[in-house]
Amino acid sequence: MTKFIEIAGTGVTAILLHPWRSAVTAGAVTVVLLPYLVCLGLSHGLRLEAESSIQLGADLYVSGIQFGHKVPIPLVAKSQIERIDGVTEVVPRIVGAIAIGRNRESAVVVGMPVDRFATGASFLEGRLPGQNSVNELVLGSELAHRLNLKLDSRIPPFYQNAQGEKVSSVVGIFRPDAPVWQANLILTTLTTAAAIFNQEGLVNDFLVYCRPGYEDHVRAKVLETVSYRAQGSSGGPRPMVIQRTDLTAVLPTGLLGQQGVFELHFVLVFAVGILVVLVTSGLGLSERRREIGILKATGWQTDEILFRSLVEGCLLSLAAAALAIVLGLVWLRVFNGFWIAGVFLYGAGVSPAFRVPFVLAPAPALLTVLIALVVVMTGSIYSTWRAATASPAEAMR
Amino acid sequence: MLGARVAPRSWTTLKRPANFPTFFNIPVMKRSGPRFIFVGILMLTMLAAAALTADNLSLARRRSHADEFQRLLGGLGLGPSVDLAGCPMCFDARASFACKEDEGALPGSKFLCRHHACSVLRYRPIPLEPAAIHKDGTR
Repeated sequence: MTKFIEIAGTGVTAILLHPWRSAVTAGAVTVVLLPYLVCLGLSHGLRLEAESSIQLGADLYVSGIQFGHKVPIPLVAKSQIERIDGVTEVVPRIVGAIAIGRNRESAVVVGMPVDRFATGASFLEGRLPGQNSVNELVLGSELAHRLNLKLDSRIPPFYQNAQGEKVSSVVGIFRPDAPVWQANLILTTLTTAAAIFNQEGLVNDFLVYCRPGYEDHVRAKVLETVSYRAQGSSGGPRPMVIQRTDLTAVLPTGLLGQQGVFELHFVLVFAVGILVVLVTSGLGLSERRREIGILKATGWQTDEILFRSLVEGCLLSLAAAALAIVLGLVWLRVFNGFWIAGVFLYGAGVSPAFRVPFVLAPAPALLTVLIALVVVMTGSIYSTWRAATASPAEAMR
Repeated sequence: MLGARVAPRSWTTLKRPANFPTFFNIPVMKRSGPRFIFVGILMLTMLAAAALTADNLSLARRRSHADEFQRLLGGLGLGPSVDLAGCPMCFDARASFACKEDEGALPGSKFLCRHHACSVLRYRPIPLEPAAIHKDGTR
C-alpha cells in the first residue's frame, strides 16, 4: 500500500515537473468544459421552467387547425366548450407577434380576459392591466429596457385598427426573475389584444380547466361536438386539443436529452481536446519521453509508470472540472450568462435584462468530471504507454 | 544547524535532473510543492461541490415568481426563444404545431431552422393527429 501511495505521490510531483504543460492541459480541458457545462445548465434550467409551464398551465388547450396549420378560432365557440360535462373553466387567450418601436423590436402580445387580472401579482412591478380608456400594458423586462420605457410611460398608437387607435400606458413591468418568456411579453386584456391585431371576435386558444379525471372525456367531446364553422358554411378550421400529457411527451428526457447539433458540436470539441492533451502529454514532449526512459532505466515497471500517469491525469482533470464548475456558476449567476445566453436563448441580448434560467444539477457536474477524465486520460495514457513500452535507451534518446 | 533559517527552494528547480525523483527514495516529496498542489486541487474540488450545493439549495427561492406567472397566464412558453419572430414553435409548441423551416423529407432539414440547429432544448412537434381514445378512456 505504501508503495502505491508513494507512486501516487510521484504523480503529484509530475504535475510540477512540467508546470506549463500541466497548466496548458488543465486550461485546455477547462476551456472545452466551461461552455458545455454552461449550456447544460441553461438546458436544465429551461427544461425546469418548461415543466412548470406545463404543470401549472391549463388541463387542455383547444385551438383550431386548417390545412395542417394552427389558425385563430371564433370567441363564440367558448360557450360550446363550457357546456361539456367536467369543464370547470374556459379562458380565451390571444398570443401573437408584433414589432414595436423605432428599431422594430419583436414582442409577444398576450391577451386574457380582464377578470383574470382581479388578483395582484408579485412577479411584476406595478399592477395588472384593467379596462380603461387607454390601453393598459404590462411589459417584459427586456422589452421595457430596449424601448426605454418605465412604469406609467405613455406609448403613442403603434397599431392600426379599423375602429381607431388608442394611446397605451405601461401599468406594470415584469420582474427580471419571472420566467424567461416574460422578456419580450406585452400582457394586456383580451379586448386590447384583439384591437392591437384588429381581429375582434377571434382568439388563438381556449384554456380549458377540467375536474380531475375528466381530461380524456372532455377532449373526446370537444373533438366530437365543437364546430368553428359559420352557419351555412361547409369549410372552416377543425378543433385541435392539446393535453398536458401531449406536452410532457414532446419534452426531451434524460441527461443528454435531444439537444441535436449542440451535442455534435461538443463531441467535435472534445475530440480536438483529446488531441491537444495527446500532444502536450507525450507525443509532442520529448522531455517527458526521456523522463519515462530514466524511470524505466532505474527499475520502474510499465504498470507503475502508467499508475503514476493515471494519478497525474486524474488530478489534472479534477482540477479542470472543478475550475469549470466554479467558473460556470460565476458566469451564469454573477454575470447572468453574459453573451452565451444571447447565443442559446433566441431573442435575448448580449446582456439579458432578465434572469437567465439555469440549474447546475449534480448530474451535469459529474458528467463534466467524467468528460474531463476521458479527455485527459485518452490523451495522456496512450502516449505514456508508448513511451513506457519502448526500451529505455530508445526513450532517453 | 538548529535555529538556522533555511530558504525554501522554489519548485521550479524540480526541472533539474539532479532533483529527479528516484524509486522509493524521493527527496522531492519532502518539499511543500506537491503537497501544496494536492491540497489546492482538493480545496478547489470542495469549493466547486459547496458552490453547487448552495446553488441548488437556493433554486426554490430563485423560482418563486415562476409558478404564479404560469398559473395566471395558463402556461406560456416552452422552448429556448423569448419571442415569436424566428420560430414560434421554439417559443411554445402550443403557439405553432411545426417548425416553419422544417423541409420534411430533405436529409437534415430539421436543422435548417437556426433556432433548431443548435438548440439547448429541442423538442418534437405536437402530433396533429393525436392517439385515439378508446371508450374506456385508455389510449
